[in-house]
Amino acid sequence: MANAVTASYGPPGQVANPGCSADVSWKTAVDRAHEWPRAHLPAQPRVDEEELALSVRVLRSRRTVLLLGGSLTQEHLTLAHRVAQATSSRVVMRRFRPSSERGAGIPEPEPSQLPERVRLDQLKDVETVILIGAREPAGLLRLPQRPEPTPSRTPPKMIDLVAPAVTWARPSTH
Amino acid sequence: MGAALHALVDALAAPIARLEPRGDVPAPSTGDLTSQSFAAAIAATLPEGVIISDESNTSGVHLRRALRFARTSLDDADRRAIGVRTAPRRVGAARRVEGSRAALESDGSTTYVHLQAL
Repeated sequence: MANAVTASYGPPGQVANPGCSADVSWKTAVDRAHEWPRAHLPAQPRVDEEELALSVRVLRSRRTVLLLGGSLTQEHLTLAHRVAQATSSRVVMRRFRPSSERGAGIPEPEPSQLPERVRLDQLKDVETVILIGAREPAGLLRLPQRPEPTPSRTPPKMIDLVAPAVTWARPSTH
Repeated sequence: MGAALHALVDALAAPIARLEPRGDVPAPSTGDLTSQSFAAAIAATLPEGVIISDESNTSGVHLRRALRFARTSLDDADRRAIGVRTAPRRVGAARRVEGSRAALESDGSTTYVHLQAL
């Protein structure tokens, strides 16, 4: 069970199915919890220097979006805002995210649009997307009432700077 | 994630940035109870560092706007499933972080799981 939970944390966070015996729900548990294996959160992955250098280059020269996912703290949001302001890039946060801090003085990025609109509208003129704890946005869903994407338009290039991982957020105390 | 963002800020020598103005602070009123006045009252009285379980779909628009001006809170809801992912999980989140509190806000699913969670 602990292995399954640890595996689910990733990165990348993923579905893990523990196999349990059928009587797990009604047999009496042995009270030796301290002897059980423990699930543990993965260590913070190191930042890949090449990906980082590439990100800095495109932030300086291309129309870029920083796409944030996972549990977003005030620190994350403030740093991303600083990067965006210094480079005239944009910050987008995943609409469906575990948690984010908000309040006076905390930047609030635009949330990602629903999948069928992301590439068509929100990333329309964007050349590069830097993924920071976020998965690549899902491809365009072809809905009958939606316009077709322009065939000549090349989709933005994705830079996977930080892999999505399960993180536990806690409120900041000031 | 923090490390990567710090590295980007350092590499770009990105200065501390101002926030764009966000419009007028919604003022709590003593008038009629509406979705707006309800949201303004919550935002004005919310303690610091509260975990908010927000799964509202309709009135939540006003709450999310009002909370931009409030003390820091943790918006701990992904609004993907009514009930199941919300109250029990938030109460668990508040228990996990010593001294933190959970605030619960919802449209209709209170009936199903919120009371049990408490």
